[in-house]
Amino acid sequence: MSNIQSVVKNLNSLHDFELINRAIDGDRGCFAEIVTRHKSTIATTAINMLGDMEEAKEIGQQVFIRFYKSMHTFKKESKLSTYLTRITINLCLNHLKRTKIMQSRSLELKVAVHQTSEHFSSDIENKELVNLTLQYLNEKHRAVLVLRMIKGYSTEETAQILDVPSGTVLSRLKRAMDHFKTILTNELKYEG
Amino acid sequence: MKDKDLEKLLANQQYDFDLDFVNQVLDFVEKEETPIRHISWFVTGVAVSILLCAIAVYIQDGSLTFDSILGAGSLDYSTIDTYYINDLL
Repeated sequence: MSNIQSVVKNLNSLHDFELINRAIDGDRGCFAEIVTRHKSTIATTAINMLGDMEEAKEIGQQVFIRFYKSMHTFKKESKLSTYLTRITINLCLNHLKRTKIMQSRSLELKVAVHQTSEHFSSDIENKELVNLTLQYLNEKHRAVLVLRMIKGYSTEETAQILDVPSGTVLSRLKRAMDHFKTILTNELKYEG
Repeated sequence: MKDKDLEKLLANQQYDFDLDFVNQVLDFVEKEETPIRHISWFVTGVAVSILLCAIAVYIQDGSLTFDSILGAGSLDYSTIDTYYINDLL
């Protein structure tokens, strides 16, 4: 096994908190491992929240840069993925506030394009359609759906990330699921 | 449409950034850090210069008072007073 391979294997076996300690001491490789390990979580959250890959990528970069600047203050009481997801959600919500008008316009156009399409057969088309449907929901409901149903966080973890009571998560989830189903089946004519 | 189908559709919404994403983040971090590094070198340089000046003043005057830093440590004030008084008279 080459040196590089063994270094990569060593980093893979390290716990997130150990990687953070080493990254604080200036080990760039450890920080790269943190980014590699958590980028899919951030991508899934940001793309489903924003509905746009490029915007999600920018948010993703901001998430890790913010974390890099503040990692010495990370208390290690919660999981790193939860902490990073919380930053992602906050940045996405701020971004959505700034670009709300533009988004509603482009959404109308996308819906029109989808309604003219006859088949939603392939997985990719399904993913696009679900993503589009998510953009129809209000931000608070969308955030709950993304965290609870897509990322698979528990109700308590979702409540912690969004800084709301567990009961609020449950009620928002119920309303979000009902709304999501209505849009998908009635407005976008999805038949499964 | 059944709730289970809906849950399956949502669970399938997984994404990832491309491999280049990690390098882009590291580049950003590098760029953010560079000015800080430059500033810290600048501050260190200024501090070392002040220290060297202080040592030079101490060696020259044998003390490190406000007057010696201003270069007025070895002035004879009584001479100045006399000069002024004579000038006025």
